[in-house]
Amino acid sequence: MDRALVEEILRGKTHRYAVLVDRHKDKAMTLAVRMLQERREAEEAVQDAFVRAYRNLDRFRGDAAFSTWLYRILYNTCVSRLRVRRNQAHWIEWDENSAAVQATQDSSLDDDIEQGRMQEVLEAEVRRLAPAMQSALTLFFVQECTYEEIAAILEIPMGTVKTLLFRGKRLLRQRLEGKMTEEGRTL
Amino acid sequence: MSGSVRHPEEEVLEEYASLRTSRPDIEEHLRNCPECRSTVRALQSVGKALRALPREYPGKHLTEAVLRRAGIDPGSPKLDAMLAILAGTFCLLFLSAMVLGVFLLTGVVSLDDVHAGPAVVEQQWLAGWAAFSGWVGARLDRLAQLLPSATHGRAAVAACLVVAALLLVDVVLGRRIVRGRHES
Repeated sequence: MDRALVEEILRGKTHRYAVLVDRHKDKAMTLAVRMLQERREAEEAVQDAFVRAYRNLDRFRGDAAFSTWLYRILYNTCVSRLRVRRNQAHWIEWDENSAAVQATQDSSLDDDIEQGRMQEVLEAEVRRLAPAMQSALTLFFVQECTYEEIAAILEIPMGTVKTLLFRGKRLLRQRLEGKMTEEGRTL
Repeated sequence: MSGSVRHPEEEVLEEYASLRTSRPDIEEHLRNCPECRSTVRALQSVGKALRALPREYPGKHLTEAVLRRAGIDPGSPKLDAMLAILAGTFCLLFLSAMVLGVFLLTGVVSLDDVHAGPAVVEQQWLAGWAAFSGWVGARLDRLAQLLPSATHGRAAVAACLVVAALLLVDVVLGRRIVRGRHES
């Protein structure tokens, strides 16, 4: 379905790109928010990715799904933004305000646990994972991508995808079990 | 994992829990191993919770922003509106043809009237409306005899009317949606 649409766009019906954007924007946004953890920046990244995808549409070979190709562009866009952010973080490392923000985040996590909102705790725990692990988990469980698709998006071998998913889930399980044990509940 | 029983690797259990495909060897082991069963259950709980994580939605103007930034003309609203009107006209013509067909079949309007022009058809149409109503009533009565109850006949007619009404609503709404998309 997407492939036919891409061909139409390449033949000159450029306005049809709106259909492709509408079709994939929600899932793309979910991936971007998971990676960047900031809605406004995530939306900018999604826009960037769609614009880059459009400008390189003639390079889309169609041997993989359009969504796989788009997510790869989006993943790279988010990674670039994270790199920039990391470089900026280096300069504000000694800023007292940034330490205060970190402390606030930690205390809000504790509050969530006290209220027993495990879903929110899980979200918080997912945020603490490495970007590649977060992306692999989001792509697998939220976007319902296959191992092959995730490997193509993250440009890593399929074995690494399996390891990322396994380690990510194990980490989350251990952390959630730890939190729940504190609450006297079982997973 | 302890004892002399050979447990599957946790990675294998994780894959089983994630993919939810049939693995008779693992299922056989799980039947007899509460330890691995509990591991799989915990892994499935994490997977279920991950699947249930809230989706994120972009602002409603994202598509327009992408098109603008990519320098794409969002298409001609006039063309869309014209297509919507064309579709609506076609539907109305189709419905009119169906009604005329019924009138021709029932003899309310003859082919000569049709050839004589629209004014004659209209005259005959209005004159024949009462007859048509009577005809519908008679058919309903006949249907009532054929069907287990008159309710079925009325239901069939009502269903036809509902379909026609839905068709019209669809055309009207379709036009409004197209217009709304371009206005937004």
